[in-house]
Amino acid sequence: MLEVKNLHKSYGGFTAVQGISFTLKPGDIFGFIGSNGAGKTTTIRMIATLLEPTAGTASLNGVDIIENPMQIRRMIGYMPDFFGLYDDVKVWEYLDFFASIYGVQKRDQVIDEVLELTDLTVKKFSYVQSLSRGMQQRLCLARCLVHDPKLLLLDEPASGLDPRARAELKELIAELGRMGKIVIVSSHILPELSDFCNCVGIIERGNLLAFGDVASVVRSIRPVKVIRLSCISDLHALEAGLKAYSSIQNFVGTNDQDATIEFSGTDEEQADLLKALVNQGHRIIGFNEDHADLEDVFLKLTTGAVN
Amino acid sequence: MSTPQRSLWEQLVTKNPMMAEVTRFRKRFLSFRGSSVAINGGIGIVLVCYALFAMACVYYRGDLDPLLLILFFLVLMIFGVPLLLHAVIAGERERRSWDMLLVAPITHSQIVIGKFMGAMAAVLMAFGLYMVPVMVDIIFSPNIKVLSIVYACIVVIMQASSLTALTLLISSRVRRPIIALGVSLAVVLLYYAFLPALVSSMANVTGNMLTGFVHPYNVLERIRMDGVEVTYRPEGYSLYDVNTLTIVATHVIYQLVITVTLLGWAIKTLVFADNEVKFIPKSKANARSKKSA
Repeated sequence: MLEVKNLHKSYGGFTAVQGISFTLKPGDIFGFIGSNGAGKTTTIRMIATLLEPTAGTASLNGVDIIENPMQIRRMIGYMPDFFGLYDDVKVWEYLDFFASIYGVQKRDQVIDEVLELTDLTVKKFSYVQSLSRGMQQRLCLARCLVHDPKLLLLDEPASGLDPRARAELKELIAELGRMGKIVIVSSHILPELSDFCNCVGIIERGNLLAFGDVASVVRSIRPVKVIRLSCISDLHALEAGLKAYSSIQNFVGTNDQDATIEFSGTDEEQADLLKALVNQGHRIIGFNEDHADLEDVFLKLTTGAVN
Repeated sequence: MSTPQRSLWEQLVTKNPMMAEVTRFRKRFLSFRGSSVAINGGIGIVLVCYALFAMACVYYRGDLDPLLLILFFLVLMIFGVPLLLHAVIAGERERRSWDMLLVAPITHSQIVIGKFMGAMAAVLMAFGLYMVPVMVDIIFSPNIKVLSIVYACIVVIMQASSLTALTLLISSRVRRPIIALGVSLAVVLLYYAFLPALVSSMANVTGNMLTGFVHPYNVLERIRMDGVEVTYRPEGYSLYDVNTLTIVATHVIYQLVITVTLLGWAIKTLVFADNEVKFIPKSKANARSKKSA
């Protein structure tokens, strides 16, 4: 379990991270969302023991990052947003070098396993410099995995990748979550994060504005359901009929046929409402909930201000 | 998960995970690697020169002064070491592979010592290869003193260690490899050319003791002249009044102190991850907060 407690980072009079706290359990894939300069990388680097927090701390499985950074480093895999690989070595040599640094036993077997997991087995004897950007990204991820870390810190792992490489990386990260690892992914590509992250955090100016599973974060900005409704009968009659329902908070007609209603009831009440409207003779051709997504949440919560 | 207590020697040398650098340096500098034309071309030129040198040593066996040949390696080394090693740390920073080492469960000392040992292993292997044809010459040389050859090799190895430590220090203190190369060459020129000239100009005051113990050329020259009747001696206390073993031992201690000092400085230089977040100097930050207030 990863516990981040009131993490602060200041440089002189400038505060980059202002008291971030959250908890993640094994198997969690946490999407860390924020504009450039919001404090994502600083937070990740503090957890990676690369930056010393000004205040607060974090612990992984009870091991404190400040008190036992060496022990923490054995339990984490960190992939920076920008990274370079040794260009004069082959793929297996690169992994072997880091595996030996981490004191991995049975290095050959481990290297074969991580290459298979990252789908780089066919490139085992290729030079690192000959790999495409997507493959280099996967190799960097393979390097993070050679010592079987409990926590993976992936800072913008999908940046600069083509759509296919992105899809492959997404699948790989989801697989790592299924393996029981805690994965923290920072990214700007919000729709992708919501596909495979089971919880997200939105950060701006060093403050964590929202944290939780995707559905609860979305609900936090939109406590009522927004339903788009279309009918080919009289919309005014429909509006008048809806006034009888206390769960209808608001009705906005967008044109002669379409309207948006804010509905505070449950899914069952929503189904009953539709049935009642049809029974009343309204000719409904559309009745869909307008689901908010992470992008809506992000745009609503943040102002675009950076540190 | 508990880490067993280890002695400093075990931490830095025998159990240092960064000793993997020894293999990496050997492969990097002493084998044809990848598709890099510059590296492979450079190794090719060195091999051709080595072949010519070996042929010359065999052809003129017994006629060449082996100590002069060892002195020649020293000259090659003072330019070769900065050329080959200037990017050892600065290059990692520039290519952004540095974070991956910093986040590994190793200390800054282990990183620097690992890189130092890797570089030294490569330099020593190069010296070993260089000495193969020289040995042919030595075998056929009349009146050669084996002890003098041993002393000369020790001087070269010690010089290699301080030179490697110096290059590592400069590489750790700058961000760009090209700057590291320029600074390293400038320091080497200063130490091996300008400084001896300056000290020699003061020989009337100091005798040749000052340069004699610290400068490898002087030490090698003293080893070469061991047992030879010297016709000219400078006035005052002369290096020729001291036996060779004392001079070599003093030189070894001097070089060891220099090496340890430079490595210690390099370890201190590896600051806690500096290449991502822009640090704002306190004075600027205060000025900014006053302005906003």
